[in-house]
Amino acid sequence: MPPLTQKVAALADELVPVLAGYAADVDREARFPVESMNAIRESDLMGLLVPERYGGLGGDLGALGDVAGRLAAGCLSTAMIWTMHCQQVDTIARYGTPGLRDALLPRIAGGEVYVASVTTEQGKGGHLLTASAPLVPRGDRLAFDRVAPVVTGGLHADGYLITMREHEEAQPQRVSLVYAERDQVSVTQLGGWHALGMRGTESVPLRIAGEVPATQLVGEPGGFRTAAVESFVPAGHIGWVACWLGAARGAFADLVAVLRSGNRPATVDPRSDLVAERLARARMSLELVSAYLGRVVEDVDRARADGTSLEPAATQIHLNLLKVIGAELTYDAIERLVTLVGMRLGYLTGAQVPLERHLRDLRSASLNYANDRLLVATGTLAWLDRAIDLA
Amino acid sequence: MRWDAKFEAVVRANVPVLGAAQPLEPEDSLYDLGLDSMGTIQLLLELEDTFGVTFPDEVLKPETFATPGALWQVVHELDPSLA
Repeated sequence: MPPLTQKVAALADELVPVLAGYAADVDREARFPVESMNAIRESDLMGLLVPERYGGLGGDLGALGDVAGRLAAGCLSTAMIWTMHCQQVDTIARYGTPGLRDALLPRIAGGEVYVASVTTEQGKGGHLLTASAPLVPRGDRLAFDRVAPVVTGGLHADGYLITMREHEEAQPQRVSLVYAERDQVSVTQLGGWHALGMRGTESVPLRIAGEVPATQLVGEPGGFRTAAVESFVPAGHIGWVACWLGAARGAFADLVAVLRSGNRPATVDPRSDLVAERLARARMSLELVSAYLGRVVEDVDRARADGTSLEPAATQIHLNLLKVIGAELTYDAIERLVTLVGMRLGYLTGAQVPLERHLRDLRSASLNYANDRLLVATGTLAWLDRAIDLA
Repeated sequence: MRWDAKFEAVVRANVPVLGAAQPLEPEDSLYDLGLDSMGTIQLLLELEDTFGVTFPDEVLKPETFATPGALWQVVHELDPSLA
């Protein structure tokens, strides 16, 4: 493990008991994990993807994945909030103007700023590369007024990274990305977050309106697609899958500990082939996700270090399928564990291992940017990769 | 360098945003005219069928489909007998 990854792994390991301590509460009340996020802010981890010259840790996507997985074993909602923040940070660090980077990145590294992602919009069903509400130029500033149906941690954000249509006459696929500080916008909560799982992400619908200097445009006007390909999507898919895997792996670890303890449920017979087979298949699902995640992370980090684009069809296919594989197989693993342990340990709240919460949380994975969209995109890209370059 | 009329017809059929009366210029952005990844595949297949050519792997990259001019250059290189 590279030295930086070792160092941040230790930071993450210290935080896991804090996250675990609040996880049930955060889930039951569907509230943002304020205490856990404060603990993360106090560590250096909010700046994991901030380059060192701005006071950050200068971590790569491998470090992101490692930390995300550890935190997720404590609380998946908190880990996801932090991971998505890191995804925004990566895009700002790579595509922000020098002025924005100088002003914002050190504050992020210092734990002052949690950046929320605003990409959802009515009528487009989460499709990332189209936008409806436009940016309106006003001198050297850009005004906007937009509704976002799902904003992870939106009520607790210090800043927002927002997709907007480039201007009023632009086509929907001309998407711009703009950063706004909390005090540069008015934020209106339009509803609650009443979800089966990931309840602590408090992903409420918001209306966000305001005006920012044009220097807060991140990337070229209308050019979000480039930032999406090279930063936003890879950081997102790698981070999400690492979170889901970390949660599933943590659940598996907790379960094995219970099975080895005096509290083993009477229904789980250590001599049973059925029990062994079920454990093996759950483990198999985790191994497959881990292997694929590791391969894709290695390729993507090498490409980014070399300055090679992630645009080629094969790379896009790997990144898309990573998300689908991670979503399906981590849920599959928890499904199998719940079947294995039965109702008392697998379906009731307050059980020794919160398997029912993991089941609810991981059911979201396929829906968190719908697998269907990614599969159609991947199948389309498959026409262009005659070499069939596997990860 | 202008292009074969059949080429323009195939491109127009695959960029829904371009109006029939609007001109198609070599430097127009096909992406801005509504060409997405599925449209790209359709366009590729139709061009290969129409001109009896096969696009080799090395030209299957975003730059090729960025503008009509870049795309025509590839088609023309595959069959120099075209106008």
